[in-house]
Amino acid sequence: MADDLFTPTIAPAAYEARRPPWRPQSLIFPAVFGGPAAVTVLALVNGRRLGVSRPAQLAMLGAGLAGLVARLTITLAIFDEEADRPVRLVGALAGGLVWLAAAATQKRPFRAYELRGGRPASLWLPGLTAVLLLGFAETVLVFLVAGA
Amino acid sequence: MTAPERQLARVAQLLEVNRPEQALTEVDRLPAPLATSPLAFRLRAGALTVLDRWDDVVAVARQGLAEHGPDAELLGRLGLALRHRREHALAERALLDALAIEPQHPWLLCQYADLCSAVGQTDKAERLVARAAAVAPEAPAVFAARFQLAYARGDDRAAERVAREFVGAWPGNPVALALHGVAAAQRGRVGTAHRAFGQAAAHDPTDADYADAAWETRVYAHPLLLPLRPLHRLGIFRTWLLAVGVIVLLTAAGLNLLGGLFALAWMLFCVWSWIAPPLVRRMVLGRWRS
Repeated sequence: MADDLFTPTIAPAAYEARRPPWRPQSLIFPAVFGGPAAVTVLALVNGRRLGVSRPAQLAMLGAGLAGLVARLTITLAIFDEEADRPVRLVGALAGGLVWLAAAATQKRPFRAYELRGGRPASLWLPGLTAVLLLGFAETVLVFLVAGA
Repeated sequence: MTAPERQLARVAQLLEVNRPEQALTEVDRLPAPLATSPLAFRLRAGALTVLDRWDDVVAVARQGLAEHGPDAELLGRLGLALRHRREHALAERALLDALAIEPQHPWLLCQYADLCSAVGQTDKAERLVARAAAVAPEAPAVFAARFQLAYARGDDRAAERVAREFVGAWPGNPVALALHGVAAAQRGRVGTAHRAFGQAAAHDPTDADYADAAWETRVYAHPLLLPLRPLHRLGIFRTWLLAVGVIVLLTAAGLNLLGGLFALAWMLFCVWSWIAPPLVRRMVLGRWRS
């Protein structure tokens, strides 16, 4: 077992330069302000940039869809009697839980990227765009489903 | 000892007292046969490594290997430099060639472990570090490799523990102090991180990275970012869960006004945590993002 220590295990093309990823920790901001859809899309893009494995990406997508469904169900079901539904709070909570999946699948690849001397890209513009576009689309979706 | 040999010894001494630039000029002044001796190549590559001039390290190491054949130290330096140039597969080749010559060399084992950590192969890195630690448990390279392994695994507690052991074993070592700073910053101990980087810069004023890191932590030690300290200490998610919990509890207890005010304060805090760090960074460093 010990002697695979001295055989090469690093493939030549596996770590070629992609676009710099965002810090996975920072994705919590679009998660809280935008909701599950925003953080899922950003995390999937980031996973691609980090070269995350396919199962991990699928898990991320699954967590995102689950978060979205959970947000819709809880908004409709649990707070049904209350006139003033805490739509935003549930959205932020669902986004935060989806972010946990992003952090779990991307923390280690990002740490390795840092050790390779890589620097994170700025999440400012993409984060704000995702919050405004996807967050808004999701809110519209919630109200459409609630109104139906 | 002949005069040229004395010169070589002097160069080695200059490297030991961390005067790499002077060592380089002295090596270049050596008479012809000595200037291309294996030892001269090692000293040159060593000095260039300290200066982080990776392209030059690669050139010098390759020239030395071409002239004198395989040499574990030159191959090791070549591997380290290639890693910094992000040529990971070539770096692995060089380090494996070096380890074929000296399979128990702790520094070489650690270099290979660092390379494995950097490409995410942490299990292999762990076995390499264990082997190096069995030979030289207190070597700075072993502490540094253990730190990088813990960091690559995302285990900040373990990284902090290793950094503390490192500083305990080598109190004045700038690398130990800098890693202690990195670990403290990861765990949200801003003041400790700032002090550690300051000490590292004081012990090695020639290294720009330590000075940069000390400046960088100055940003987070800024009074305007004082409200964000709990956020750094607890981590974003835990702070956020705590806040949501408080809001829900207050609302459930019927204290709607209090709950609303707290929610508003929390919202402002979130926005502050988003916009304040870049602003303070600009104020302190005079530029956006380093």
